[in-house]
Amino acid sequence: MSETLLQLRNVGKRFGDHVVLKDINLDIAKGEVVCVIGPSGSGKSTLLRCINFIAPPEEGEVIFEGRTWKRFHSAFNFIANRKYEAKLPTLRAEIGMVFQHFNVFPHMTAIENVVLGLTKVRGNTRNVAREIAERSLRQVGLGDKLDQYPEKLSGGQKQRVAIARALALNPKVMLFDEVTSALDPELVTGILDEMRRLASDGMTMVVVTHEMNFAFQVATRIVFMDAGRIVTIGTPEEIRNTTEPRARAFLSSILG
Amino acid sequence: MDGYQYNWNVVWQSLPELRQGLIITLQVSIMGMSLAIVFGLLCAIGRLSQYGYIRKFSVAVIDFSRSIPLFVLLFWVYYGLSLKFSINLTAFQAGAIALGITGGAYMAEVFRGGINAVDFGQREAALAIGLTQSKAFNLVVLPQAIRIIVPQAVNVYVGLLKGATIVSVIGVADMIYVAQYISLNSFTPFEMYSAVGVAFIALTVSIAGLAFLLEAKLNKGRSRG
Amino acid sequence: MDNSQLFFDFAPIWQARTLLLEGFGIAMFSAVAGIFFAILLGLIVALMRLSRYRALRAIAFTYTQLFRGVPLYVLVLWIYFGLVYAVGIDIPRIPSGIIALALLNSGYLSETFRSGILAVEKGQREAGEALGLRPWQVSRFIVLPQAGRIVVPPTGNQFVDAIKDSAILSIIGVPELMKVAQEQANMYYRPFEFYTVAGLLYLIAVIIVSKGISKLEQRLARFSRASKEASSGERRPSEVGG
Repeated sequence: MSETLLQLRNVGKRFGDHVVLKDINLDIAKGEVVCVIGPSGSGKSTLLRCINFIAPPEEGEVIFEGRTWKRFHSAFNFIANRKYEAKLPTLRAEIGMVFQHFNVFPHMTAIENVVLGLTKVRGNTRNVAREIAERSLRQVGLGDKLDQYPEKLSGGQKQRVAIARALALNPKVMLFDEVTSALDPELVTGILDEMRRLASDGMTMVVVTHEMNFAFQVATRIVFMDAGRIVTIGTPEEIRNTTEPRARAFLSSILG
Repeated sequence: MDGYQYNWNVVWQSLPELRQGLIITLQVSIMGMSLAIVFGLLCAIGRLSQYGYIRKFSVAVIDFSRSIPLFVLLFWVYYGLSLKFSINLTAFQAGAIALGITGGAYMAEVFRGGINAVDFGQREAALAIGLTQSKAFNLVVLPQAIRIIVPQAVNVYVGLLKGATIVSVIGVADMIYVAQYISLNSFTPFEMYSAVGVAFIALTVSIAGLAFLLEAKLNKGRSRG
Repeated sequence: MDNSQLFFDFAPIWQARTLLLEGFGIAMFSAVAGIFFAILLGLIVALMRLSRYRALRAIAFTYTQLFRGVPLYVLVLWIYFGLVYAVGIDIPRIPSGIIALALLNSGYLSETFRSGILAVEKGQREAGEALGLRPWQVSRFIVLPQAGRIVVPPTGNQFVDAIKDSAILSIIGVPELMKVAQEQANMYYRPFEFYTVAGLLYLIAVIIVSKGISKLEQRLARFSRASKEASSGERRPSEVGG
């Protein structure tokens, strides 16, 4: 195995009394494609959001490129809170994320969506940023939609803008959160192909998905989650032949 | 003016007068609200009329009534109209009429909004099961519209209640009038106006709270299919 | 010439035209200045209400309740007469009026701004954070521009109300349109004429501003999904104060 890029150590999260994640341990190597599957409400999306601290884990830590990240919150020391929050963007800037509901910025054109991170996060000049953004949008097949507002784009095109927006920053890992769930059926394949291409280019990816065919074809490892815990991890082959009862039940209900 | 002696006793001593003033404020605002409901209903019905010119006229009346400041309406009614047409209006009546005109414009919108908010499919469904036009309106549309109308009508009333404070300008002996009168004699405008302000905030906040409860109650067991 | 028989005697209006227009100018100035400061205050209070610190939220909530509950008339009297006696701050008439308009409207606007900010989808903030933007950048480049579009129509309506409310400033002697109309009506003993004209001037101002708002609204709606929901631009009926 090549070097480890990302580690989750005893990560846990709760909303009030409700435990969403518990004792998550996961090592991800460079170039791996890890697909996370499991019934809805099993904590898959929350797991992704813990990795880039958009929903910071209350317990445990995330180690990214050897640097350890832990949630910090003080009820009274708001200066310390600020300091901690000011650090998070450096982690997030290295991690790209694509969302189920696209979350493109409706008040910006396609290219402006991509330029924003390049100028404000990477500190590129506008001209350089536009060049990179254009290339990035071309790559996802939107070369002719640069100056369109998202309102004028289809769901698939919006999702491509979102992918280009994340990729333009040259992230070390990409997180995909059910990115095809909100798409019309005929648009799903295009986005999945885009992700296949990324995987074969060697991008490290963590993919939460309901597309089992995709998961079993593309993943280097599959994580099966249920009720906030990782139930089993393995290669697609191992998961297909798993004896773990919950995973079996889930797979047979989906694959029939 | 340093070393100002706060004299909150004045407020306590004048509580009976202030209370009397408050009752008059409430009376003016309730009279105004009653007129507003009637006026608003007429305008709303006019807006739903099948005749284009009645609709246009109603829209014009609504726009007109709510674009002119209440303060101007008050003077226009009390000094302008009464002198021009030799109608003897008391200050109280003039205040209620001015409030009724302003409030009526808002109420017309509230009525219309409430009726429009009821899904068109509801009326269609009612007609489809064989109800007549008027029964469909009375039995299906109106009960649903009321849930939307009542809380908003309370909001209009709160606005009128606050607006009603200006009737003291034309000499209605409301709470402000009392406060002005007393502070002139005792040089305690700060205390008196603070007291009046607090009274109004308490009043409007509690009415808004009531409206909130009412809304929750009206919406209970409501699930739109 | 004896004009007392005329239904509408225009001559005194014409004679007082400069005074009336000056009053109209002062009324507009008060409304514009009042709403300008109200927007600044309202934004600060809205951000405080969305703060994670309970104390700030509590202060902001009280502020909002206070200025939404108090009638403008009382507020004006309190600032102009009350403060002089009690605190010794002698604020001239026009600033007093502007402060009162600003405070009152900031109470309403803080609520408008708060709901506008909350109306921006959570995913938008998340997406901004995921890019690695700093918290202030997320607010500045993603949340506030979208919230801004949502709050344009209700803010415009608030401005219309401020124009109407400005008539109340006449009670502390601000020489605005209503004050001029009162003086002239008494001088010529022509209340019907002067108050009608005053009313028409307010009407014109309100109509022009309202038209401007809906133009602006249409322009914003062209390329923004966010403003669609708000474009119904319905007027909140609670501000009848003027």
